[in-house]
Amino acid sequence: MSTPQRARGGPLDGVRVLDLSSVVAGPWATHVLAGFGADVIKVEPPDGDIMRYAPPARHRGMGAEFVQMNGSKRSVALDLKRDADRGALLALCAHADVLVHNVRPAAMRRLRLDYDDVAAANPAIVYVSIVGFDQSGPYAARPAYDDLIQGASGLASLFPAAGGGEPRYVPSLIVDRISGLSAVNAILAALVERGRSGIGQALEVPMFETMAELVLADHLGGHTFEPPAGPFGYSRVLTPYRRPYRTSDGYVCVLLYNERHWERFFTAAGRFAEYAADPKLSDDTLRRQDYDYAYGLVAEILATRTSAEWLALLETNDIPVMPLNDIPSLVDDPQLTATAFFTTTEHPTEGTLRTMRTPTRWSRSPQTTPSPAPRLGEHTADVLRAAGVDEAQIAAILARENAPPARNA
Amino acid sequence: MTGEGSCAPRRRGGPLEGVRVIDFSSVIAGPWASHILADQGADVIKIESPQGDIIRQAPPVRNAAMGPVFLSANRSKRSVVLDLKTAEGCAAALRLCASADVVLNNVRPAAMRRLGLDYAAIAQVKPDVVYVSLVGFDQAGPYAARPTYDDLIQGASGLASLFTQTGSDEPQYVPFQLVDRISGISAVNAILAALFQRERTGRGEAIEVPMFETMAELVLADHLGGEAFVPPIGPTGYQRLLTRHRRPYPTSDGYVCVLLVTEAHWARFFTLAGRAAEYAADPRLCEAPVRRLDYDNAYRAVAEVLATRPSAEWLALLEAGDIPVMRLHDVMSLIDDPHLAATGFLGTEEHPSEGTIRTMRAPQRWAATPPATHTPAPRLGEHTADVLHEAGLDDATIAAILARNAQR
Repeated sequence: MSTPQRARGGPLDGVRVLDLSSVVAGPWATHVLAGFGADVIKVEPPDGDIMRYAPPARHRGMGAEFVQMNGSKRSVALDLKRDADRGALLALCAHADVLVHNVRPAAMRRLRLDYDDVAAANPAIVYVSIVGFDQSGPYAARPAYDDLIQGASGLASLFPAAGGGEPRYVPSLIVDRISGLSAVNAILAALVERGRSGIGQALEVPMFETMAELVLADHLGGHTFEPPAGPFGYSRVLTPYRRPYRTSDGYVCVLLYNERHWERFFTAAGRFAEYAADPKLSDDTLRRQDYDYAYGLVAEILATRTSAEWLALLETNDIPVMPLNDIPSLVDDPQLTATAFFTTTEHPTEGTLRTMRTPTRWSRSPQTTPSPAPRLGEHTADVLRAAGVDEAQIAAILARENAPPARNA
Repeated sequence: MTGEGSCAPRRRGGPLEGVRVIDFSSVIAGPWASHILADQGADVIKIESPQGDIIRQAPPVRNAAMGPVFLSANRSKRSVVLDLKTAEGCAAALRLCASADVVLNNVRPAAMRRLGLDYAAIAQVKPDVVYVSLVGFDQAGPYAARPTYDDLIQGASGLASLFTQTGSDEPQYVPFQLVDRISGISAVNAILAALFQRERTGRGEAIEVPMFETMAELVLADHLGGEAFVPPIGPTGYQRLLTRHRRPYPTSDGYVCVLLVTEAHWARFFTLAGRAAEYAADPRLCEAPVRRLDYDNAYRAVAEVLATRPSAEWLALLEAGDIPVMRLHDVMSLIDDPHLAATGFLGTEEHPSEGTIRTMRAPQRWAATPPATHTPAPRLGEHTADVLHEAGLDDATIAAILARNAQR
C-alpha cells in the first residue's frame, strides 16, 4: 500500500510531514518545511487549531495569522481520543517521513501516540516533539507559551537593563518563531542522518533551553569565565543609545561597526577633527569600554539633519544605514516590491490574500507554488482514502466532524 | 584529528557526522549557523583573516581576541588563518573548498566574486557543493549592495517601530542580536534542506539567505493583520501582542509571567483568584469572540488581579491550577535556574588557554544520534597548519602562509 506524496517542487519534494501541532511554534516549523516543498498534512482536532480564531477574519476559523502560516498544507480533522481516528492517524504515520507535535508529552502518552507507538507503525519516522522544557528537569510538565518563555529566558528583563523602565515582551511571537525554526534544524538534520542510517529517531526541541542559549550567547558576558571576568551583558547591545536614532524629522537606523565606519561617519558629518582628537571615539579599545559615550555622540550628530539627508549621505559613503519602517511602510518597501516578496493569491473561500514567498533563493530548486490555507478538515476524506482507510471508517469520522462544535472556540 | 594524509572530515558523532563545512563568515549570523552545524557533528573549518573575526574582540576577555560572544558561537570549530587578499591565500581556500560539503559566507557577493570564491568558482572544484550566502537583502532588489547588521534589520523589518504601539515613546531595538541568530538558524535550514536534496539527486546548490526578508516574513506573519486580505479588512497589527498589558505582570513584590490561552485557563484563573462571579458576569472576559476584540481590556483585568499578591503565591497557586505561569528571570537568575541546573544545561569546562569557562550544551535531545561532544573555541589560526596539511598542501606553501600570517 502506498500513497502518492503531493509533489510540489523544492528541495523537500516528496517528503511527507504529519503535523499535529497548533498555535505558532509547530505550525511555523511546518510552514518552513512546506516552503521547501514538503507535503504537510495538518491534523487538527474537531474544533480546529485555536489560531484559526485569532482576528481579523473574513470567515470564522480563517483568521489572518492562521492563513499566513498554514498555506500549502492540507487539513485533516481527527478526534484522536477515539480509536477509529487514532487508527486513521497511525495509517497516515505509515506513509510519513516526519511527525511533529507540540502537545505536552504526557498527553501524547495518554493518546498512545508517543514515539514507541508511532515507530511501531513506521520505524523510519522522524518524531519531533516541540516541548516547553527539557523533559528531564523539574519544569517538564509545565505549559509554555511565547510570553512565558520571553520572561523565563531573561529576554524581558534585558529591556530594563538596556534602558531602564519595566520588563517587557517583544511585541512579536519571537520565541515561537525561533522554536519553530530550530525544530526545522533538527528535523532536517535527522532526515540527512536517516538518509545514511535508514532509521528514524525521536527528537525533543525545548523552547526554554533554545531561547536561554540565544540570550546567554549574547549576554553571559564576564560570567562566561569562572571566576567571572566582568559583569553579565554584552555592553554594545545593552547601551541605551543602541536604538533607532532621532533625526530632525524622524528616525534612521545607523550602525558604526568597524574602524572605517567610524572614521567615515565623522568625516561625512564634517566632524573628523573632533573624532581624531578624541581617543574615546577613535581608539577602538577605549571605545568598546564606553559605548554609551560613543553612541551618545553619534545620536547627537544624527539629530541635526533630516532622515532623507542622512540616508543619502551615509549610503553614498558605504556606512551601514537603513530607514526605520513601521508595518505599513514595510508593506510598501521598495526592496520588497522590486523582488516580488508579496504576491496576491485567490483563496477559494477567503477572497484575495496578500501572501509572502519563501525568503531564500535557490539556484536549482524552483520556488514551490503555494496553495491556499485549508478550511478545517477540508482534506480529511481525500487524505484518509489515499492512506487506505476504508470507506466505512472515513464515513464515521466525517459524520462526527460535521457535528456542531462542542465549545465556543 | 583524523589526518591520515587525506582530507577526511573530523568525526565527532551527531547526526551531521562526516559533513564538512568551510566557513568564511564572521560576527554572529554566519558563525551561529555553523555553531548549530558543529553541535550536530559537522566538521567546521573557520577561515579567518589575519586580524581574526572581529567578534573575537567583544569584551571582556582574559586573553586578547577570546571574548565571550566569540567563545559561545565558535566551539568545536577549527580556525585557519588565510589572507584572502593574497593569491596564495585564495588558492589555499579554494583547495579546502574542494573537500567541502558546505561552503558558508556572509561576505557581500561582489567581494566573493573578486576573490574567485563565488559559487561558479567553487562548483568547478566541487560540483556538488552546497554554497550558502548569508546576505543582507535579496540580491534582485535595490538594497542588494547595502551593508547590514542586526540593528539595521530590526529597524527596517518594522520590529523596532512596534514598541511605540505597546507603550514606548520611541522605537527601540530588542537588546539581543535576534536578527543575527534567526538568520543563522534559517541558514541552517537552507543548508540541511539542500544536503537532503543532494543525497537524493547528487546535485549541489547555491542558496541566498537574506536577513531583511527573513525578518520581514517573521514580523509580518504576526502583524500583517487586516492587510493579509486585499482589500484590507482592518488595520495591520496583531492586537493581542500590541496591548501594553501584554507584559510581565507586576505583583505586590515583583513580577510574574502569566498567559491565559484556553477557555479553561480564563475560567480557572478568575476562580482561583476568587473572582469567578465577576468573570462570569462580564462577556468581555468570559466570551472568547468578544474578548478577542479587546485584549487591552481583558489583559488589564488580569494585571489588576495579579497586582494584589506576591509572586511566590501566584507561582504556587497558578502552577497547582495548571495555568501557564513562569517566574521572570534576569540573566543573573537564569544561570541559577533550578531546571537548567537539573538538566545539565549549563556546565563548566577547562579551556586550554582561557581557563575555566561556562558552556551550554545543545538544547535539543536526540534519541539515536545525540549532539556531538564539543571541543573548545579555537585561538586565531590554531589549526592552520594541520588543516592545510590534511588538505594536501605542500610543506613549503604551508610554511609561506604561516610566515606571512606571523608578520601581521
